[in-house]
Amino acid sequence: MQPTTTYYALIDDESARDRPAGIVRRLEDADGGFVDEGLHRDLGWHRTSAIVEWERAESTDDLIEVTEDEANQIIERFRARWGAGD
Amino acid sequence: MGAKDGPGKHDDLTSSEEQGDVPGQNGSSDRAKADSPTRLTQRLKRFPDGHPSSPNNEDGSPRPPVGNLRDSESAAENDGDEPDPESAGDEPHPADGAADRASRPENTKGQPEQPEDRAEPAEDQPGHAENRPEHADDRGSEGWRAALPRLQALWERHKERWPAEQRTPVDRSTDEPGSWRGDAGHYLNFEENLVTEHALDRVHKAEPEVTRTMKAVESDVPGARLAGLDYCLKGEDRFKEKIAGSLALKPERAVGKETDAIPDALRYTCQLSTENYVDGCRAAGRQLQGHGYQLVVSRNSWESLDYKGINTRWRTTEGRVFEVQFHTPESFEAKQLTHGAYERLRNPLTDKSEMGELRQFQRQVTAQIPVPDLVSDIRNFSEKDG
Repeated sequence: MQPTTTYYALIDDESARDRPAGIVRRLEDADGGFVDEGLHRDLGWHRTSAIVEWERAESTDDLIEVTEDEANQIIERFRARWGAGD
Repeated sequence: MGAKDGPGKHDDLTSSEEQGDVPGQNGSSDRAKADSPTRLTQRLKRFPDGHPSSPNNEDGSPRPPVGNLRDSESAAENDGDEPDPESAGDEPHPADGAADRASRPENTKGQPEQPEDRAEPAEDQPGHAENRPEHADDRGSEGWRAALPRLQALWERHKERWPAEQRTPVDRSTDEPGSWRGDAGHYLNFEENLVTEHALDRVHKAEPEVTRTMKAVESDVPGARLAGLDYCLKGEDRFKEKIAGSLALKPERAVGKETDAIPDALRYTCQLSTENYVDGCRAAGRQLQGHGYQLVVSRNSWESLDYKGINTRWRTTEGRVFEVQFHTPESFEAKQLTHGAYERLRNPLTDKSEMGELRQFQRQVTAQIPVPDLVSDIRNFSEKDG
């Protein structure tokens, strides 16, 4: 198994797939080990339990898997907003 | 994740097509009979010695209670809560799962892993011999019971292989007064902390009425049992941690919105037998609607590899959102058996290799849970999607 990165758009009551409230990703190694990260306002990726909670139906918000291209677009939008200090 | 991804009909959980669950007619007495520990014990003794459901070994000697997860795992009732050493008289157990924080706060004190604050008393465990529900067709349950010792041993081996690490205490010396910082570093500033505490106060005020309603549902739905009712409220630190984690991922959201959106600050677990699960879920849903409560979300995770159950959110007539989880005895037991793994999965310090092994363990346990017939008929629903 090749290392993979899977992106998920974070959807709450006020958001949708094309305008998510946040974005998280799972970085998975070839041996099955993985870490989950979320994008914060500092535009850095930080460890998050959001995906694990969602998998266990513990999450208040929904996660929708998005392609890398979609993820990059989402990240760019956050970068434009958060990088500008909004 | 769910059994079906598309939005389900609103009436899938609350439809009135099912039989035999008219409120107040046939629930309480039947349930009381079915739940009688004496009756259950008597019936268990009818199994031949050595049978997986028999309380006796092949030689007739009594077996220890199989599946009493207190012996090997956190007795956590609700995932996502912090430990509370004062709860339910729980004794720390070396094999108990990690506390429900992203961190492992117990390790900052050099203590064994602690049960969390919504832990259910040992005698109330679904795996406890006298609390095992009777199944008309016990084959699925037999498979689960047969697999339990191996799964418990797997978890023990995992903990030996990956001992809980020591953690450096979090430095709060520069935090502003009135702020909050969790052991995993989650942070709420003064204002966020204040709003969160007020929200938690509102949850506590709403709890008695919702609990009364849930008890009425338990009485009116044949075979329903509220598991861990004494621990329906989420612990303060865990609630704050959840808010802080949510705000970190969604920095454009107001803290007040997030605090009001978290349904499992008030959570109930409705346990139904595998055979009566689908009808029981629907009957309970109709009962809640009959009390004026509104279904907000229903998520069927019975096809999930990681977790099995149906989690629903409801809104009271006063607008308070709470959660009801529907489990079979086995899916609830599996949730408890995997609680320690889940805690480690949530821990931001857990090594990525261990993360993979934890997921593998969780999936091994989940794969053994008997799936109720026709459970995929209960479709997902989201009020937002209509």
